Amino acid sequence: MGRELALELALFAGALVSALFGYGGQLFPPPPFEPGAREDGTLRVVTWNVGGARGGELHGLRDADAPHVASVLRALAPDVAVLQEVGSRAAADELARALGSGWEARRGAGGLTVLAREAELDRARRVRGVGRALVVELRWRGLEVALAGVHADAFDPEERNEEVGRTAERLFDERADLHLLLGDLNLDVDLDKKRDLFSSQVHLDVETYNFVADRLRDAASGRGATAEPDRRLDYVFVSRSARVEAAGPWKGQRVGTMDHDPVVADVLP
Amino acid sequence: MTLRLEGLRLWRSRQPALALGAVAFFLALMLLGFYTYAQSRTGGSAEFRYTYENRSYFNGLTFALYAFYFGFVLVLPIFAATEGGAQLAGDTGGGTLALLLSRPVSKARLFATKFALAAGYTAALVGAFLALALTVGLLLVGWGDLDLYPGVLQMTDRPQHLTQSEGLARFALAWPLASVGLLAPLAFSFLVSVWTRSAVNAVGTAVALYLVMYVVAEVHFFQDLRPLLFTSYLTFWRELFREEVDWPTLARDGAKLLAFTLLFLALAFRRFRRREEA
Amino acid sequence: MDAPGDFAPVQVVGLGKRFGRRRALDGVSLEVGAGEIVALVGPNGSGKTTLMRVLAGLARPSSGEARVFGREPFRERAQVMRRARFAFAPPALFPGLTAREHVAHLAAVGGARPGRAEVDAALELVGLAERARDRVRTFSFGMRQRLALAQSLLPRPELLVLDEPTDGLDPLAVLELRAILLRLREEHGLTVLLSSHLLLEVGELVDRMLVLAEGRPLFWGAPAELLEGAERIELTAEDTGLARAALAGAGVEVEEREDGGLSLPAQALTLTDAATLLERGGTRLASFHARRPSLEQALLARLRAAREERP
Repeated sequence: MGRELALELALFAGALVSALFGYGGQLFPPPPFEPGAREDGTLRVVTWNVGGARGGELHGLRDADAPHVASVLRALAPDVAVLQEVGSRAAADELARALGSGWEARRGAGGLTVLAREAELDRARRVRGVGRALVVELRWRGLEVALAGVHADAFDPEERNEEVGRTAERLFDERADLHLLLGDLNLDVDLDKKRDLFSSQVHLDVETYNFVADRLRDAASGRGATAEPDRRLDYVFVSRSARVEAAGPWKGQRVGTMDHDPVVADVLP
Repeated sequence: MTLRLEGLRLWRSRQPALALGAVAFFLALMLLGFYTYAQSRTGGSAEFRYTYENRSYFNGLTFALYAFYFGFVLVLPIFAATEGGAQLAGDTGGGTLALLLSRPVSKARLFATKFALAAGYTAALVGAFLALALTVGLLLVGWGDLDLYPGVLQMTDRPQHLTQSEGLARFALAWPLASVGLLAPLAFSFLVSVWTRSAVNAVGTAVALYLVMYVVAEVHFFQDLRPLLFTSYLTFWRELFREEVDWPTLARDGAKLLAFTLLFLALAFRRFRRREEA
Repeated sequence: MDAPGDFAPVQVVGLGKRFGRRRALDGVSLEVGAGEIVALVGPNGSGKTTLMRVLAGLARPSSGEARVFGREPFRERAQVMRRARFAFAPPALFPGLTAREHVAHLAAVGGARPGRAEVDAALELVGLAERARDRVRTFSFGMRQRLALAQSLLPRPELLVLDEPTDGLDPLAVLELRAILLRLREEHGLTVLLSSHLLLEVGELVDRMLVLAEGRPLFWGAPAELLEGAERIELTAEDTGLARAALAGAGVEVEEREDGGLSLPAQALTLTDAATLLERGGTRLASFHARRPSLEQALLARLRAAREERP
């Protein structure tokens, strides 16, 4: 009887030890990503959908939120920021002004805006057949950087596939030392999220993601959700030759009806 | 000595032959499905899409991995549950438990022997499945490197490339890890087995509950429950099929499964040692 | 350390066992000494198997105490089984094994390593030597019963508990079983506790028996003691009515039999006294016999009486 009780207790103890080892990380999760001081020589890029949603209606950046967006960007001090849903050209220029000297803005359709600091920002070019995408070249510390920004369709996977695919192909056409593709791709290919027996057309989103991920590195992969409560929709893709020093969504920066976090990546070209 | 008796009983039962037959049948079906899929998705005039799926990555290793993945979540746990459910409940219902308990053997030893035998049997079945899948794959589907893309099977969330020899080495590692993974459904079926007095009831209940937990773990709606279900971690060995294996994650997920296994065993043994065989 | 003889093989005191609201055993006491052959007798459902399961450590007593070689079976089952062996009915065996494997491997479960000769001798003893290599699934019920006995003999126990061992055996096999058990007692001092619902088959074998009815003890003693007080006088007279009145008048307890005769307790009166009494009552004695019932009849009479007494 004593031996039998010993076996039972040993099994319970083994279960407890295994659970502590297995779940320990979840009980004490690592702190969320915090953009600290970046290393010298790294390029800091940010993508942020600054629009919001109220009562099911989507809306662009509100004037009232613009100073907050500027202050977050000042705190991050990125070299390049790609914002989505900046309401107007005037709002984009106002943001550039608010950020201080050395900042320039380029604006595409649908509120897509590229802001760059102390970079020779070329003119923005549209991507044929894609409403909310732009490609722009810039020189940063002597490097040729080709950057594509995109805000893909929120509802139709086939539309998204076209938009992201064409933008990426247009980007790959550019000869540059570093390629960057940033934006709100509106697709969530997180392995755990996709584990849904009732999902439809997820497969096409996965193919869309793969098309980009096969050529570029997903900088903030595995760093968690970027939008709404639990979706990863915003991406920073960088050339595979580049090294990602740190990347992830910066939590706690949303105000008003905003539903996305800024996603930051420090890239060593 | 108890192990020899139990081993002989298992060997003489129809269970191993039945399981091997089912595995062979399943692989034949997978082979058929694999060819049909490859033909329909890549051989026809598919409309243009930004996709990397093409004929070149369908080969023996891909076949073996996909067949094993499906087999692992749908076929092998059922055989594990069948074996586990039949062990104690079968002996209880058939009266042979009283025969064994009429010998100077402790319930601890009897329980441990039965679980060890069932675990060994499950591991052998996993090995047989992998060996057969690789043989069929390499001989009938083709040689080549292992390219994986995120797809409906959710094997990976980013593209992966492993050379053929790397791929085979990962398969070799997958055997023990997948066997550890199956210990959880096996232990769960032991837990069900000590609460029932007929093998049919035990196996039926264990399989039904396994399927319910598997489905719940796969539905996004229940994602908060996932950490509490062992079925969420069963395929933790998939992590092996990466260019860079994330060993800490692999170890943690393996530990979670082990925790479930030991908890089920502890609860099952607690019931077994205290219950009356009336 | 177990020292044989320190404790009686079986000691049961005031044992009760309930299954929910049903009392399967109630106030059962029993002691089986070393080398004794004792039977548990009673109709189906009387609690024989429950008592054996308690002794085997498969069930816990609800009240009272059961000890085997001084040990509490449920808590110390493995130790009990070093000296005792149980075979329950119907015989549960492993159908995929051969008879020889069955005996050899089950013996090995306790750590014993019987040689081939020992295994074959056990099979020979029960008449299964010819079928040693056959799978159990091909065996008839009677053969399974014999194999259950063979497997319980290796390694040789000090106490053998057999549940309904004569079930499914033909009359010759029952005789052989008796001979085997008696021989084992003779040669090895084996203690046997067996159960049967047919007293006829075990009455001549056992030293003592416990009769159970609905879980309660009805009789405990040697079979011959069951007959004490069961002997009757049967008489017939020319006029049964007058004879009955004459005997009743003399204070004799009389029962009328179905065949018209009268039945009275064995020591009630002598032949001469009966003739005189009836003469005085106005009739004549026609026949006078002392009738000794069989064990079975005596048991049945007690069971009937017990049933009539119950509310």
